[in-house]
Amino acid sequence: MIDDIQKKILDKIQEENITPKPRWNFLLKEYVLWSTAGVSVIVGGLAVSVIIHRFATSDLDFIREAEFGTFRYVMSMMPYFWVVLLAILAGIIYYNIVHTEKGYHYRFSVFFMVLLSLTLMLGVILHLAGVARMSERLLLQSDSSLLRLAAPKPELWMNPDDGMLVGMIIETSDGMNFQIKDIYGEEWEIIVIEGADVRGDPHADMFARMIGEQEDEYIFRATKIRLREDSDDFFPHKPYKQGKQLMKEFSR
Amino acid sequence: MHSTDSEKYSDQELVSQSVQNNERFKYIIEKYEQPLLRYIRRLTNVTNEDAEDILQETFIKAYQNLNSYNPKMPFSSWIYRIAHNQVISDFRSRKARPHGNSVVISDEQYDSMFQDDTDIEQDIDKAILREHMQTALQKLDAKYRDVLVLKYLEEKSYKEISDILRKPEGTIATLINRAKKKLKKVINQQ
Repeated sequence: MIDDIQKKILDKIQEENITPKPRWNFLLKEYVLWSTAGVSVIVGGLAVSVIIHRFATSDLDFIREAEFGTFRYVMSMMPYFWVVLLAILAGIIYYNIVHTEKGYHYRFSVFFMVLLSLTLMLGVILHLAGVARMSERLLLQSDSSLLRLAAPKPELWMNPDDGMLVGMIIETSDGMNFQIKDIYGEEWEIIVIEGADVRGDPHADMFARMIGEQEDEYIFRATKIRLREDSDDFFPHKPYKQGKQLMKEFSR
Repeated sequence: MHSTDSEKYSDQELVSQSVQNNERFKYIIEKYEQPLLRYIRRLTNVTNEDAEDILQETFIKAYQNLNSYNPKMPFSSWIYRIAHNQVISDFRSRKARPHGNSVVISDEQYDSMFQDDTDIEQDIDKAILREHMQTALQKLDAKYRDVLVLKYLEEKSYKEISDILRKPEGTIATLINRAKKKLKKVINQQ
């Protein structure tokens, strides 16, 4: 009976002309698995850097004062696209490494810690190198609806009814007051109340995030203001700043 | 060439020769057909004919994938892995859960499985226990049964089991410990 099995197998190999698959097939598969894992780590690092960038530029001290609540504020700030992308990539990396020739030797906990450390380290490096900032600006400019999903959404803070307003300073007037253009292009008169908590010296082209109350149509009384020089990070789609020019400015 | 070539040459040499000449593959078949058939039967409840079909597919897959074999790994681990995967694939195609055939456990295998546990032996007669264990093994989840079969019946090392099941050695050790506890529980319930 055993001889029969031997004969059956060898006959099948002969009759069906079965041959060993070439070695390069397996090497290619191995390279593809490792390369995909490597690319996923890099994109994961970018995702982490964008998450760091979002929190670093979100004026966290506004949380307590946000009229619509801490939870909603934090939720409005979360870079969902990047968080979901990071989770998907982690899955791809794990699947790929486990399916390499030696990948199964690593325990999930070890793998998870190494992956987490690598992406965090890479994320910090990319953030410090300004890659996250560049990525955010490019995404904001994109016409692709998919890429716009990943872009920051300053409109989430555009909520004057709830006491929050964002915009770019177009002109400063007497005292501390100034005018802004909001993300929809509307101009607002900002009245800075006496004793307001203002960080920075307002001047044209700055990005301003404000807490206060709407006094009238397009008039806002600000009690707390955070200013940033890098208004392009939030308003890169200014008509006179095109992508190439932005890249040029950034690389300077 | 004589059939003793399967003993004369190392597995690695036989693999290299088989890639060049399919006739040489018969020595690999000759060397592994009985251990693999026994292993397949221990993992499945299929008929002898079906077990032989799984064995045949195992060897065909092994032949097709000879170039993926890494000589740093024992060939037996590699071909056991293919057999294990083929058993799972066969279960899926039959849409049946794997249950082993009635497993015959020798005295040595029994002693090896419970060598560190004397308490259970004080309570239950060893012969009865062994008899119960044979049916208890069939009641275990496949993941526990797989490691016990490989460790105590196929007498594979942790490293070999890790290579066969593609799981870290630490996970294998944990699975074996849990499997032994589950097995004891099932035996005590019988």
